[in-house]
Amino acid sequence: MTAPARIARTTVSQVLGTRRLIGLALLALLPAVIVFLSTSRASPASRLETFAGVTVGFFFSVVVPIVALILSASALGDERRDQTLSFIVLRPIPRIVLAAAKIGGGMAASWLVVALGAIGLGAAMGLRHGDWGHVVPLLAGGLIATTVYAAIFAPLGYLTERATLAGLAFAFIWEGAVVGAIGALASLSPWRIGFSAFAALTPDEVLPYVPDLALGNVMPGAGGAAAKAVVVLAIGVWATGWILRSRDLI
Amino acid sequence: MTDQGVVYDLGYRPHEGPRLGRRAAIRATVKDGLRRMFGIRRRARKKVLPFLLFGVALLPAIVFVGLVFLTSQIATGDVIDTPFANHASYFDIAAGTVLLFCALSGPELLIPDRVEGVLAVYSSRPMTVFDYLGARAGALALGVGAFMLVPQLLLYLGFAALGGGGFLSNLVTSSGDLLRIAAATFFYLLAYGAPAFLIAVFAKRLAPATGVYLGAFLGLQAAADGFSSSGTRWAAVAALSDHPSIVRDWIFDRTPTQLVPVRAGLDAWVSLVVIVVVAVVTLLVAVRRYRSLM
Amino acid sequence: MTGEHAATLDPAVVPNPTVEVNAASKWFGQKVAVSGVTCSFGPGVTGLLGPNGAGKTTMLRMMVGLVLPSEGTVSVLGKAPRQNPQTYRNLAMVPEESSVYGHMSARRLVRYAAELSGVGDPGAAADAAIAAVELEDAADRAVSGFSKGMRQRAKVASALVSDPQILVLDEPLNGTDPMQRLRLIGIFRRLGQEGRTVIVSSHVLQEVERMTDRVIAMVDGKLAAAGDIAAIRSAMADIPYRVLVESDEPRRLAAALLASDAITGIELAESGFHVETSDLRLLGTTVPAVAKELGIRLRAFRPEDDSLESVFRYLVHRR
Repeated sequence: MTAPARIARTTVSQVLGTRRLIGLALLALLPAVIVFLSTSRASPASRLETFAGVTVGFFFSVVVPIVALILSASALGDERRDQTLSFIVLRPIPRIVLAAAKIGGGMAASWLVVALGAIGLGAAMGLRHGDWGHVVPLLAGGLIATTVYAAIFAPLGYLTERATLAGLAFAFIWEGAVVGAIGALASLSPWRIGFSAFAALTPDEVLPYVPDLALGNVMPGAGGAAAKAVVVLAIGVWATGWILRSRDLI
Repeated sequence: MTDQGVVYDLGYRPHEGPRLGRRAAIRATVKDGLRRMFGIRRRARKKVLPFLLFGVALLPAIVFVGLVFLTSQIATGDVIDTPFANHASYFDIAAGTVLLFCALSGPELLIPDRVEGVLAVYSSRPMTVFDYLGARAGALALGVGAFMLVPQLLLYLGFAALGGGGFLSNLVTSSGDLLRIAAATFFYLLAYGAPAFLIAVFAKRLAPATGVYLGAFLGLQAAADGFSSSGTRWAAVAALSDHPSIVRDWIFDRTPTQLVPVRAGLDAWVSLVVIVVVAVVTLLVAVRRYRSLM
Repeated sequence: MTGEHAATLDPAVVPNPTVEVNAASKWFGQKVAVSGVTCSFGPGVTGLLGPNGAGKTTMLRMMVGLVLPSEGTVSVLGKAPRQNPQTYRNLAMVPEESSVYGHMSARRLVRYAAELSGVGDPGAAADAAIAAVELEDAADRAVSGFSKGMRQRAKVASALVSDPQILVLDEPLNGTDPMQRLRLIGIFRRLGQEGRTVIVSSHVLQEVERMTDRVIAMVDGKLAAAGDIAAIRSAMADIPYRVLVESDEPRRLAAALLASDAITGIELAESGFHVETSDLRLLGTTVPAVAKELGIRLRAFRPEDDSLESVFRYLVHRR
């Protein structure tokens, strides 16, 4: 295993402590539990309405930001606060590679938890509605949104201990209230970028039940969403590499 | 090896002033808590979030008073019942920032002392576990109080000043609101502050504690909504963030807002009981845990 | 050639340096941690001394590239480590702070360090490094349960595992028991004798003395002294030497010595007297000569303040 892969793997086990994993996994599975239990006697239309509501109002707008913010902000932030940063930076590894490995580790940990939630939510809909076609769109959308959050909040987590709270304020005040009211700003909402991929891939019958605020002026499209995520990720890696190169690492 | 010993005078002078005792220790702990929450005497970036949130909570009050002033220039009359906002509805505006402030402050008040091993400093003072936890809760109460009461006071004074009946008579007329505001603030504090403390009592790190707190609130809210709308009526008690608004409506004698517990047909007293029970459980758990630590 | 020339001019500079600090300063806001320090380090052990807040840790952090100088330059093997990560193949640090992953076992931690440093056989290298610090018995236990001394040894093993040419150690003996100290001092001395550059900061002056004669002392972020301990002491011409003289008839000998130019002060003690002199060599010939002339038997002639500790004390109090 190469050094960057080893760093990424260690980061996953570092940020996913047992208690944190259990707590976040429970949160991630909650949408699935809600959909599964609350649609037992529901009509098909009601099931779709509940699924769309929970997917927008809880999975994408709450679960994905919270999981990604906590885990990705910890990737570098914990190293700094645990005073272990010197252990990884005093190695013959270029800073940009180190940055990519740490963001990759935080992202992989977030993916694991979000993927669990996405598979659970898709499975709940598959079991109740008989349509398993939601699993892959949920995975794709969830992973894209997670990537964007991780790319932004991994470097921020290094810079400030309050990155998670700042991120959550961003998610709930900016993305929830401001972007919810002004659809033109939807491109500046990471979870909406992920949701646009979900909307493009999921069976069409769900879309009529999706609230308007979920997309704003972002058009459904998996390719565009993935491209945005890649661009943000590249900027995030570059910014983190720059921080590791140009700031005091204490 | 020598059988002789000597103690050198290093110039240390013991404290010869008054010993202020328990009350002063509690006061100092409250003061320290306030400094921590607002980042006072700390680096600038520690101040950014709390003061930003405070600004977000206060700004609408300033805007509303400004709007009332503008409209009072155009049409004279009774502006105490303004169309822009009243005392009860302002709680809805401030609630979001208070929730975030509790997410920030609860962990900040308890976790560093425990993780950095400073609790021994408190135990070596004339303080009990109750004193310590009470002082920390007091700091949170003052912080949340500032978030809720300062904008409300601004509205109260602003509306009274701009109302048709004269400043003093308006103050007297609407003085009953002050008690209602204080009571509602108390229940918001209990409802939002107690869970923040409960999580902070166990968490080791600030950031995850913040995330878990908000995740728990939002997750329980979503679960309560989902389950209660599918027929499990009592699941609505899990809608923790709705309860203080329902109690607020009760206190202000308003038509209840259509929140999850209301839609599930639960009475306002249920919300009151839930808030009190969560607070009492938090108190018991915190005292039990800190008794083993201090 | 230029290095040798420089060495004769300034003891802070060594010939063929592996680590060079050139007019380096570092400030954090209003606080100046290191101020215009120029010095260099070569093969062998060098002690970096200074009281708390002298700037030692900041100096070491600048050397390894954890902290960037606000002014001046620091280079390792001719390059700035921060801009040339490959430098870390030959450079390792044992920081003063925690810097270990508590959830890993010591073996896992040291192996991780080996993997990140690109060591060929990380498993074997980790085992060897753990054996070098005598941590085999606890190697498979989680580091979070270690005592401070065991953590220190795990950190030293993590640094040694990449077989570095330059080893920077910030208070490496903190928390270790006397046996472990002896062992670690032996390791550092051996590394120095092998021609590696070993830079050790420590508060435990006697142990620095046991590791090396060359020290660099910092006070208030500035270079206070550099070079051989004895040479530094003799360079402090303004501070008289203090020597304990024990003899059969101390009062008579002391009275006779007062006439000598070599003596600047005498203080009687229980079994002899303390002599202060600005010329230790002259005193060394005068005292036996006077004693012989008076027929007094001399039992001891012991310089009291050429130890590193007293040198260090003088340096700190001179500021």
